[in-house]
Amino acid sequence: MKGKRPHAVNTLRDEILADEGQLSPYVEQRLISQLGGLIDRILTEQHITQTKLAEAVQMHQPDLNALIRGRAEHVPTLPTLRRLSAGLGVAFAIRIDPSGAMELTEAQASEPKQAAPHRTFEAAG
Amino acid sequence: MHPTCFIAATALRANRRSAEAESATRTMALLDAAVAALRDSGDIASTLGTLRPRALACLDFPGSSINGWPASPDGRAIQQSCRSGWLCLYQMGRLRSSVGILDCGEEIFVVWLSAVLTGPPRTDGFEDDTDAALAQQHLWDKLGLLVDLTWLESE
Repeated sequence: MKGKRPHAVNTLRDEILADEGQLSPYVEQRLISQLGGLIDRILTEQHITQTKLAEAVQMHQPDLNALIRGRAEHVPTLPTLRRLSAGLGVAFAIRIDPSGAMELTEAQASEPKQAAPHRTFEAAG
Repeated sequence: MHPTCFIAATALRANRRSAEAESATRTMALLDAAVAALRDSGDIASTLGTLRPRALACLDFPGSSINGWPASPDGRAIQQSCRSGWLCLYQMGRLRSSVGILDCGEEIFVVWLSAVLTGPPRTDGFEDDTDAALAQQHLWDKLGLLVDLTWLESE
């Protein structure tokens, strides 16, 4: 019997995660994509300027701007993340899975909502 | 992931240490972040608003208009159950990707549809003002391959 062909997207992800040289950009971008949006939202909600936050967390404003736009090359160091948490007044958690997946969440977030399951999809069989 | 997009991404990764390979990797990470965020929220519009980099352009369309998905089991399931969809353009380094996000009720699919290299982008992700002006048109061209655009006439 013919087995089900693995989805191309899964094949590509597996290749990336198996490549030490590419694992770091993958993991960092996963976090940057979430962290940038989180910082941007809180700045807007609290009417804080990027300049003011950059001063508070001892980051160069262009580096903070790149992080907020999701275009930073690297995740901030742990001391900077700690200062970001303090500067924004928000606790966040980074979950690391053995698979290599990493996810950032606001630690004080309410119970997750019930939502439909999701998965990536290969358009053609 | 569309098969031609898989071919493109694989080609970009031929030189594993190239900037193009890293752009493909970072795009994969962005889409995986989108899947994770959608799992938590279920609201496509707000989820896209929380991810960075933001899409260069987005179009939403009614799910009933889809007619261009390949005849795979997933494709057929989407054609039958899609309620609404989004087509978005993302830029990571010099890699520009079109991504479909499809709300099918019980599942939301994130589909990496195409990947092409552009010139060096500005900080906003566009090559220049002309590129920025044409981004939406590019998206409409792409959308025309995937959905029946006659629904526009009724709007």
